[in-house]
Amino acid sequence: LTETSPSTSATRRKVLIVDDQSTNIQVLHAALRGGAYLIQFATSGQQGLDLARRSLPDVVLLDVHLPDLDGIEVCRRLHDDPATAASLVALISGSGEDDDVARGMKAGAVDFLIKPIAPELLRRRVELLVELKGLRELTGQAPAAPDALSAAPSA
Amino acid sequence: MDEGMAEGKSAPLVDVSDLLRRMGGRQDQAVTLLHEFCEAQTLAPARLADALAVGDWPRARQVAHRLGGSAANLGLRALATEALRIEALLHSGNPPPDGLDVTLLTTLFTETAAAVERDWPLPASAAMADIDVAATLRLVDRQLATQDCEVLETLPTLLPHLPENGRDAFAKAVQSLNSARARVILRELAAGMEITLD
Repeated sequence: LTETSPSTSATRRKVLIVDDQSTNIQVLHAALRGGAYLIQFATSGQQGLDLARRSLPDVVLLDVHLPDLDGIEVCRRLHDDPATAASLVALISGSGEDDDVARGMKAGAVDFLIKPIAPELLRRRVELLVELKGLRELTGQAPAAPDALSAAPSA
Repeated sequence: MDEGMAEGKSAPLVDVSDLLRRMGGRQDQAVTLLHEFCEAQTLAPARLADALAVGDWPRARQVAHRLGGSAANLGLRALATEALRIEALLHSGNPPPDGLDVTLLTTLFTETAAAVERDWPLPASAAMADIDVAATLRLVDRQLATQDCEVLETLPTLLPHLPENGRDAFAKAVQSLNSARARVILRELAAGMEITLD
């Protein structure tokens, strides 16, 4: 066991998981762990918003059905806040209802995943979102993350 | 496939292969999650029945959704299928069709919980590894402060070194990802061990 230095954490791409069910967070974390990302968690919509403003994640995996703020409302607030607008949101739901998908995309989400998500698929989708975030940074569409190029995981 | 989780045990209720694939082959964590799910959702069938009885369709739908989504993530397919079937019937927010009840769901939950208890008991406590306890306490405190999921990896190495009084509450707070409560307990434990975190 070694301590992770703050500088190491700062250079890793960040993925924020927002879900009120800890088992769901742990399953997503199990699929993504391995060192490429700093994976953070929030167990409510408001907690997710607060942490996103502090941490500025590259990717947010956001459950649609949260007990306090609806996940789609959280997505809208992230998208509308200049501080967090660059974060790419993938909504997650137990069902792919057309209405949820449409409202999510309108709120600024860039992806929609249905539970249960195959771990290989989740890893690839997150990789692609991180690559998209990197491209947006390169083209000036998003503020550059610290040491973003060297921190990007290889696909 | 992990050797310890035999294929076939409770196969209709728990898809072990699927769960282990999701957990990267980590059996201890998979078993812990199954128990955590059963404990966290133990009242879900009754809550669903209550919501249906009073005609609170949105609440009934939410309970079914949460139960079904988590069950699906853990490979509890029969339970997930029934919960999501009920959720779908409640989708419109209107009264569900006659005959919607939770008998099958309740039975599936009870049988699933019994199978988990019988076939996959919680693993024994981790052996006490040789670690720098003060440094590990500080690491866990930082991980909780930043809500870093890695705290779940650090937790098993730290737990055996903590005083018994408060250890279980701390582990439960971390595993439920209640970082604020976990930090409060951690600071109390550290103070008792005369270790300063800040």
